[in-house]
Amino acid sequence: MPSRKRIKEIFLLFVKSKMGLAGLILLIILASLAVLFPVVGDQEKINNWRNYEYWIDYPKKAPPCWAQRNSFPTQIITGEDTVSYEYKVFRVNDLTVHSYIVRFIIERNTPTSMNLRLNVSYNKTTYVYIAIVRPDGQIVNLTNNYESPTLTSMRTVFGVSSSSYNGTVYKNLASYINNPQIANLYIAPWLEANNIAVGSTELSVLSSKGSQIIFMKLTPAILTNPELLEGEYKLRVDIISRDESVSTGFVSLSLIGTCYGVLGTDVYGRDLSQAVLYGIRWALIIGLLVAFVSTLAGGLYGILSGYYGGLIDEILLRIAQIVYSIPVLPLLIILSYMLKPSIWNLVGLLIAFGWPGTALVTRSMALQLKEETYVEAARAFGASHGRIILKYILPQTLPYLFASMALGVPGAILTEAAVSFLGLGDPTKITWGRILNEAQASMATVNGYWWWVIPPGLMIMMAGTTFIFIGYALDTVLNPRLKR
Amino acid sequence: MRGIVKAVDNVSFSLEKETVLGIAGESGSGKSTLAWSIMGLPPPPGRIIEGRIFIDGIDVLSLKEEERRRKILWQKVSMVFQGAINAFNPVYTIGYQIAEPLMLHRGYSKKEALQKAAELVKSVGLNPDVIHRYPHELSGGMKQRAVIAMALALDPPLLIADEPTTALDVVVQAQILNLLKKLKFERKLSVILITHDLSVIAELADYVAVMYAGRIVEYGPIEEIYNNPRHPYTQLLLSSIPRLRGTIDKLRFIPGEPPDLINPPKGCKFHPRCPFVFDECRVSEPDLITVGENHLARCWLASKR
Repeated sequence: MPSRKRIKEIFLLFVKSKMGLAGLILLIILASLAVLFPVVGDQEKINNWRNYEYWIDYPKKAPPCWAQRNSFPTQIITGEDTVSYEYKVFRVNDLTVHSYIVRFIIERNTPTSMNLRLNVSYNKTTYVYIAIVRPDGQIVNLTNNYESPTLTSMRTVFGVSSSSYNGTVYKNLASYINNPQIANLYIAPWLEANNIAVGSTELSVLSSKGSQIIFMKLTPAILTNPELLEGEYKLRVDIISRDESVSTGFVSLSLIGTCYGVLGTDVYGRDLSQAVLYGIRWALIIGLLVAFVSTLAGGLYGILSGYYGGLIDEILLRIAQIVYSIPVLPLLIILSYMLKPSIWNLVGLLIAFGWPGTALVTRSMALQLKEETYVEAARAFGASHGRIILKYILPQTLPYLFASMALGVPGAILTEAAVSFLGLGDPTKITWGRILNEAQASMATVNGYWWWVIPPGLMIMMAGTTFIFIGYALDTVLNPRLKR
Repeated sequence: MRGIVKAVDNVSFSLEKETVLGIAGESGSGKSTLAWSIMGLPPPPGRIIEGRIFIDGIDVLSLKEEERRRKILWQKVSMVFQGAINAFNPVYTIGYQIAEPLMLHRGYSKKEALQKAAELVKSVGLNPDVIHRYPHELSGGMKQRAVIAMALALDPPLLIADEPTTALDVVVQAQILNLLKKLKFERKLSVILITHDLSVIAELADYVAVMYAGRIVEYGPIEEIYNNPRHPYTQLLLSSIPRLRGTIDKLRFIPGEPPDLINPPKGCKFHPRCPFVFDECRVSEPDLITVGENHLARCWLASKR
């Protein structure tokens, strides 16, 4: 093997070239994103990628928030975000109260829906109290409160039996508020308490826009010319039960806007940024595996062919040329259609058709190298064929193999993307090609869902560019040495 | 043109310990083929059809390829090459390449082997530091010495030197020849020296075999061959060498060209070029005929005398 000193020297030359440096930096970024996905990404979302129920609260086809400056950024607070809510249990007279206070931020705009999910279990009459505590200290009751003559029952809000229930309860609070009856019962009294007269005109505004009005600045013009009150809000939810053994759990509060995250969502509401990020893993796995195995296998095949020569060479060369002449993509499409659509099948096929290019080159290199005096000398000193191939011929072809390995990666990534785009890829794996395939199925380009199409496309391009840079830089650094 | 070439035919000689046999002949006379065949490795697609080779009492051709690699090559016989300056693998250091057989065949540790390599390198007159160098960092003469050191790594009793000085300048040639001479005495080495250069043979050899068209045409002690050549080819060969002393006559050359071995001439293979050719030469080929003590010649003229 070349000494450490020489490897260092080659590395420095490699880094000195702008292409090499750019390729190396891009590769480091891609590789660390792939490896650190559990840290930078959200594994749970990926695990639930095909579980459409998981995404029910998410805004559908929402563009990224940086592109939609005046829409409310979707926030989903789950029971696991223990820092975002407080939970208390206390007693009022003979009632057991489980109280949750969930904090959330209102900015830019109001959410279009506010989905509340709770787990509850009780066997005696149970009530519920819901209120919103605003940054200005105002409390907007959404149900009867403790001072009211009666409390609001579970049935009224969640539509489940008030006397006994065990399971998840769900309510979209926005549509709950935008109800003439609720507006009249709770929102209008709040406004009136703050000296804002509510007549029948105002009431009709409230019954269509009440869920937005509660987030507005408390001014006389709150109904005619509302102004958003930004800041931290609290949602208070009390489960009040006659059953002492009542048990509750906060599942989630989803405040849904018209934009989502960094890269928006698809037609099922799925977070595209996670898929694009996760796609790096598969792109690297497919690209590197295919390039490594097919280059090494092709390289050795070519060396064997060139080294042994004669009839063996003739047969091996013909086989390689036949495989080389087969148009890969149409065949891949047919085979992916016939075989089980698994990503490993695809990797296998790409390797099976990817090796002859390298083989043809290393064969001609071996033809030349085997005539070198040092190979002759090795034979005279009793070196076996295996030894000559591995220690005398293979090291000489390594620079070429490295470069062709790097240059082989983009081809594999692109082919996988193409096959997946055509819907013949592995449906269980999230690859960039698969995202594009789903975008195409939803006619994303026609409908203008650019955030669904451009990022995966750019990532495919970036991954390809990375390895092209590395390949070309390696080629220029190593090739003059090859001739020495 | 396709056909069978008998590149080396009917060659027989024996070599004592600590003696040097020079094999002389022009290009294509079968010198190198002979050298490779002695090791049981005729260059492909060539084959050894018949004959026997004994080295240190071992019948080389009766061994399997695997055994021959383990027991004969490098252990019993090693070779210094035509164009030996390229005999090193460019991707390993000199030291590693000399040390490798010691680790493989002798079970030395890497450190011991490198130490031995340094000693060997020193014994051929190089700085021991050379073991850390790569082949491209050495000059031609240094590489040639290092190749000799590598060839001697396993102390083989027989060294085949195939044109060991061809690609070197005259000064380095002389140094290498002196080195071989020295090693021959120090290590009690038998050497087969193959060259087209008769003056190199004169410098080093004890016996000379002159080859023509794959056959030994004359064999004998060095003084006999140089002073009393009996085969016309040897005579012509010697008269084509310029002499340092003595009258400078016109240099002579041998007209014609070596025979096509696919379709060799009938009878004596040299007869188309021989100035003394007569009827018998054209009909049948002579055997080696004893013409003096240890002196043989393949010529009808020699038998007549």
